[in-house]
Amino acid sequence: MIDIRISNCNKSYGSLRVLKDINLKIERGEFIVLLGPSGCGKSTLLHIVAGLDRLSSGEIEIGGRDVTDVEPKDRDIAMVFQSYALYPTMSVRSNMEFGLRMRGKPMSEIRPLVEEKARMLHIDHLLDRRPSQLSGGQRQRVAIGRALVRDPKVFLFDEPLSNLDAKLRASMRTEIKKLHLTLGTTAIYVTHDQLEAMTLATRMVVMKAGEIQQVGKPEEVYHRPVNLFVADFLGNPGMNFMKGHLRLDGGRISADVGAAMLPLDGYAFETVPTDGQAVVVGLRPESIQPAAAQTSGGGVPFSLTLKPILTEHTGSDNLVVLVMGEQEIVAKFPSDMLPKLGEPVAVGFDLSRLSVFDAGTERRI
Amino acid sequence: MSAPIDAISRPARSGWLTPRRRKAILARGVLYLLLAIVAIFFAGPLYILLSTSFKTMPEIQSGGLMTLPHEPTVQPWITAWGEACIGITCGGLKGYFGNSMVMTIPAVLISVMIGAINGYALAKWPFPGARFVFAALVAGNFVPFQVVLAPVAVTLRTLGLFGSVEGLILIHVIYGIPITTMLFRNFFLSVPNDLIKAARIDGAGFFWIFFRIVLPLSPSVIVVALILQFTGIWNDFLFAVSFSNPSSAPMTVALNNLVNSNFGVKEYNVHMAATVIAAAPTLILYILLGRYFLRGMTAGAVKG
Repeated sequence: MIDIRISNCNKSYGSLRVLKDINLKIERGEFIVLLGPSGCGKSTLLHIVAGLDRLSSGEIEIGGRDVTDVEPKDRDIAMVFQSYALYPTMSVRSNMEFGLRMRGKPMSEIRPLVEEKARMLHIDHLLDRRPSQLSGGQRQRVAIGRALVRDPKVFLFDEPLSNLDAKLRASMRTEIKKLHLTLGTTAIYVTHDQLEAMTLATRMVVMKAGEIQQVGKPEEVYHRPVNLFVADFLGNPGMNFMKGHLRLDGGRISADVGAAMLPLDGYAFETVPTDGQAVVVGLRPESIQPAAAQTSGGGVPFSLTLKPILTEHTGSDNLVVLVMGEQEIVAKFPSDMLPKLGEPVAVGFDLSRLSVFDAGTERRI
Repeated sequence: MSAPIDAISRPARSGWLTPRRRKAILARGVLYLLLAIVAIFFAGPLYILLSTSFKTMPEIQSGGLMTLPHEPTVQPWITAWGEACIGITCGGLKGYFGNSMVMTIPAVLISVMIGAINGYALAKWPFPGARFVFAALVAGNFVPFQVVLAPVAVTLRTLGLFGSVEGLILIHVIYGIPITTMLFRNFFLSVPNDLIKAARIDGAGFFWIFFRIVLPLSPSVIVVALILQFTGIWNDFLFAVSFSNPSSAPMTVALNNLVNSNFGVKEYNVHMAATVIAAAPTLILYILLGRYFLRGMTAGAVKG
């Protein structure tokens, strides 16, 4: 069942087009994450769904109702801001009550609701404090609580965790996930943090320069990026890219990347490959492992002997920079396997994880 | 005050009167000297004003401007308030003091309120042409009042308000709006937009957000606007003398008529008492709200 439908949505500020013909359908109960670099239009899109920004053209539907020209308060949404946006002169309790009071609910109904949600978020002991007396994490809980008490049809999150430190961010992320599992309310969540996107999203939307690049489940977007931008944007450390050409030899297809011929027999081409086509072959660091440790996950066995020139310990893994012809690639080794610099090691490539892009169009082929 | 001195003297604990310490003391000395001169410069006239107002006329005529009164008397104050002749009536200043209050209080409240709403709209609810409106208001601050005297006179006459307190209120409100709007608009720019957005989503409208969220954040700028407008309107002489008649004249006009009357002996003690009475409301306002005023003037300069 479609809960939110964004149709042919355009937004311009003067001659600057910040959103270009956005189309998106969101099912009830989905947790959609809008991901992209700053300035890609993800926040603008969220503000348009909220009704805080006007569309230049297009339509927005929420719950089957056309809300394109409807005021934010009548859209049955609640929003959590990066800056928390708590009303500074009101107590936590008044902050949480405000929306319901504006809607004319009697205080006898508001009180228990606020207290219930406050207990749920472990902020019931803070109800009589002012926002300025709270820590960042507590403020964000209050902001989430303020959205919860309204019991809206849709939750909108605008980079809610960006102002928190790394540890708090991780724990709040888990809590938001739990809340979504408990409540099942449709949510749209904007972030530039790919970890948040990967962990929270039921589906994620990757955006760039006002256009949607790819929509899909996190693992799908991660493993089958539709173009070079998405492939490059997701993953830390980033995907390895090897430039080369396709070779069609009888029934066999391979990619000549200079230092090696990567067999592409198992690769599911989306377009018909041509001989000599200039391509970029992408493979994530975790798909390049020491040949000895490589898990036989149904992948095509393929290994090369390469010279390591640099290693980095991340704690859980060792990142190894390897020379491959004229290019450098990064491999993720287990933490107990540290190759000696300069001494060639055998590394296995999981070719089932390859992504091949046309060098000209930058699209997946 | 003691904290900075400590901070300066601390590094010199080892030897007393090191060059650095001597320099610091000298700098302090010069600073206090300058402050003292400025204080005398501003407080001196006030002292003369007050001491003269409690003297009898013979004592004044015997000289000694700077001396304290030998036989203090409150008669000049009583005369100034209720008996002095201003023009052809001899009822003292009290009627005019009332005129000033009746004119100033509504004019201040209305101009501050309109300025606050204007500033809020300009800062937080951008509408087509907002920049032009703001530019026009800024320009309005620089219109010399002499230029508008004739048109205002005609306008007031057309409205039937010439010579009335209501007419003066209207003029002061109109010419107060540019400055109060600018003041509030600049302050409200520092109010985070997310607050307004959150409130809009919560269901609050233009005025709800203004009264429940924005105004409670703004006591300091409200005080600044109140003081600015109160002093400006209370002390105004040009509009008052141009557009009032004897029955609606405010304090400034009455004080001028009292002090500049050309018949009889000049009663300096009465004049001084009258001057203090005329200045008292603005003085009291500063004393009561001065610290908010200072805070408001520097708000935004330093974050947090």
